Amino acid sequence: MLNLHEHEEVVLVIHKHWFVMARTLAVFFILVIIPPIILTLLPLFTQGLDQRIVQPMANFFLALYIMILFLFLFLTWMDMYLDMWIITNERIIDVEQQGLFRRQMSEIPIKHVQDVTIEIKGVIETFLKFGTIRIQTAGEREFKIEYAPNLYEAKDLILRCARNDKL
Amino acid sequence: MFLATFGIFIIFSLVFGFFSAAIIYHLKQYTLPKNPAPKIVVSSFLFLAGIFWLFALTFLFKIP
Repeated sequence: MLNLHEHEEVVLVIHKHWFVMARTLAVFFILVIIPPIILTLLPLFTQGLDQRIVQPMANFFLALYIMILFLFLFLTWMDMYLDMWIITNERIIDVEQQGLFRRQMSEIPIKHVQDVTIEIKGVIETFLKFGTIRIQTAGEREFKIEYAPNLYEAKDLILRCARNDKL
Repeated sequence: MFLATFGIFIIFSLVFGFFSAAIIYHLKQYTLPKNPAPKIVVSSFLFLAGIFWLFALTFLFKIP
């Protein structure tokens, strides 16, 4: 996946902060809790129907529903995990995974980095210490790392790499 | 009733298997080396999905 040049070393790999996954987990738990509640109330709504059919069918579809939720959780985790920024002593590589069948990779030479800005917005980002890192480069597009943890360390490291071109 | 549900189960299993395999392929292909997290997550997912697949199968055979 990643072909490093000769004498190139990975200095830092930035994945999104765990809070991104925590949001999805909260939705997952809410979606898991709802069907058993409906299932408990099911006999009230299906009094005229044959319970020998309704009960196993309800349980069968509940099992499939939970499998779909697991798949959704797994897919979201993969998306989050494969979204990463790889900082080497020569370049910054932005890998963006968008769902299953779309993947984008872009890179900038570390020498072209002119300025690194960090942005922490809101209460959650302040308390959990994550935010956005913006990297300005000479004449190229801006690089943005969203939901990045350890902002200050990452910023210092990128600037040190840009100035010295080695660590 | 059983035959219709069995058909749904087969189609569901195929689609589920396809997406699971695609996700596992992506993780295997694009994960950086020496990183244990994907292995743990993949094992947990397969274990949990397997359990619920067996549950579904059990309930399927209870449908008359």
